[in-house]
Amino acid sequence: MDDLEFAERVLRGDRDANAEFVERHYATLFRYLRVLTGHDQDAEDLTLESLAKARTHLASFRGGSSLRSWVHSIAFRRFLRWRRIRKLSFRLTGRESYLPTGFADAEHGEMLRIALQQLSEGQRQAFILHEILEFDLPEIAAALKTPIGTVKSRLFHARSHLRAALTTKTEETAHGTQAFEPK
Amino acid sequence: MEPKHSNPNETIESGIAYWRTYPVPPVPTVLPNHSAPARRSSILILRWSAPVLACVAVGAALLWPTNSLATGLARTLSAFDAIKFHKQHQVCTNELGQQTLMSDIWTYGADYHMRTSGASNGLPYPIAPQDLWLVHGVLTNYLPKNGYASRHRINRTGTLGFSIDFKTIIKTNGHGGVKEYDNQKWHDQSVIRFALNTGPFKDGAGVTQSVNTTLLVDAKSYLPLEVFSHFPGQGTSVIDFEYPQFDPRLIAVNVPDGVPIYDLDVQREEIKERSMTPISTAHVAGRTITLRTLVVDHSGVLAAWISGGAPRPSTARELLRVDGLTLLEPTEEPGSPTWDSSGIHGTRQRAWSTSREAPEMFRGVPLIKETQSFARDTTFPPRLTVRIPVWGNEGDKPLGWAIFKNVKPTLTGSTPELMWPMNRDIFITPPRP
Repeated sequence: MDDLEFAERVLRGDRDANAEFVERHYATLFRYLRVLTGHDQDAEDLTLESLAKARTHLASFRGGSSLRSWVHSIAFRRFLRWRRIRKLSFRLTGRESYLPTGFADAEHGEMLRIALQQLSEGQRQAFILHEILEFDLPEIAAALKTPIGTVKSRLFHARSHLRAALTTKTEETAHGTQAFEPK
Repeated sequence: MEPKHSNPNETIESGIAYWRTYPVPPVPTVLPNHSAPARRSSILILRWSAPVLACVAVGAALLWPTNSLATGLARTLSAFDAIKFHKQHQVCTNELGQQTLMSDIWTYGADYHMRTSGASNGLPYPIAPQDLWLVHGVLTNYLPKNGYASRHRINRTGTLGFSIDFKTIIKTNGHGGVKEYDNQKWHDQSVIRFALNTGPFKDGAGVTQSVNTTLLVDAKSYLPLEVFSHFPGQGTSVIDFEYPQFDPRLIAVNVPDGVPIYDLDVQREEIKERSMTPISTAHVAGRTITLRTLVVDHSGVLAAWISGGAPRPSTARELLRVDGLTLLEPTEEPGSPTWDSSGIHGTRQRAWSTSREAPEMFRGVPLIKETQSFARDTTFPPRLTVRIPVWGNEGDKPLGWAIFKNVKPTLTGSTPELMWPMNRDIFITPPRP
């Protein structure tokens, strides 16, 4: 069954299809938004909002891209809106609590997330979708509404910039010149 | 901590692996039509206004301004206006002589920093220590005990914004007569003493009140040194003034690193936007009740906005309930003239008139609010089952209860501060320019 048929089942109110719709996209959406927002609760809220929005507008899904790309493009717009509202005023300053998967791993995860903030929006999206969420190039191109060649270029430059940013960060941290804290 | 990888490529790969396996919350079994915000936050106005109002502002908030000030008082006001930086120290006591509030206020022009200490005794509920700053029009409230802070922009400058502002005290007291005594001694200092008697007058609850205020000013500079106020039957307030050299650190906002700061301006916009989407509906006595917004704070104040019901009768006793949380028992009958500004019993004593509180029309939807203060139950579970009384068009007994299960409320530090900034409901549609 292709994505269009699946979407039609969801639209018809098929309970199993609705449950599968949420199940299928929840984890990748959450991780995607978690990297972008830097907060568990904000990511969870945005994930639910995005899924609700996607389901509401599912009739407008024409099958021109994968459903996964389509849902993530909605999530990205929700994130942009969230960021715009947050920018208007003060930022919550809650600290992250590291998970028991190992402090060093969490530290590198946070270092990468912070370094990603230094990239352009296009490079950041391409990197997250490809490297973390493991989207293939056509899916990214569809989600970002950009040619595949541009996606390849963004991925190349994203990694170069990250390498440069993390070289500096690693040196600072290793020599103790700067306490590392998540922003 | 020294990092495990020094190679940036390894850091990138390690970071990617971390995010690929980042734990995901349980997948919801049902996708909500409306996702409640999961923002955390903190309350203010009610917290400090309670003790302040109880001991000092009773008179000032309810009195009327004098038509003209005595010459000596006008000179004092003028001298005080010329001082940009000063400090006030206030102690309030009840009729038994028990201290109920202590606060320090540093004022620099239109900015100020107020530090309130917890009441040591004399109150039936604890007053948490609190820091409050108004700097460049931004009001920041920090409750160290709760570990939260909140801030928002307010359209108010130039005064402290509450009744212990010296100018307010001067201008609103003395309606019953002002007497001036010179050649007085106070701590070996030459002072002028003003006796400002106000009252008797009837407050909003119809209770006869009076305030006796003594103002001591320096005989040479006319700067105020102390204001002593006695509220018969309620207690006393003493405010001492100091005029130290300006120290910017005393005014600067100083919320410790790591303390979450809740942005009330953002939360208000989110709540208003989301209130247009129903959280859930219930059918009670032939009425369809829609829950629009549910807000709870860290000090136990819960507020719900619904549509579809009749306005709440002012003489009604029943308040919204939360399964698993204990209600405070009313200490006063509805309509009691006793004024309780604590916010704990206040919601039970709105019966100063018999009219119903009209719903607020917000974007074409009539909204009715129901509030409750749990006070002792300051820890709320992340999801609540709330029972909201549904009123008919007559009588003050509920027709039934609308039950909304497993609702995720908007968490904030201060429900009153968030929802009624400067005593104005956020759902009041501003008039068109």
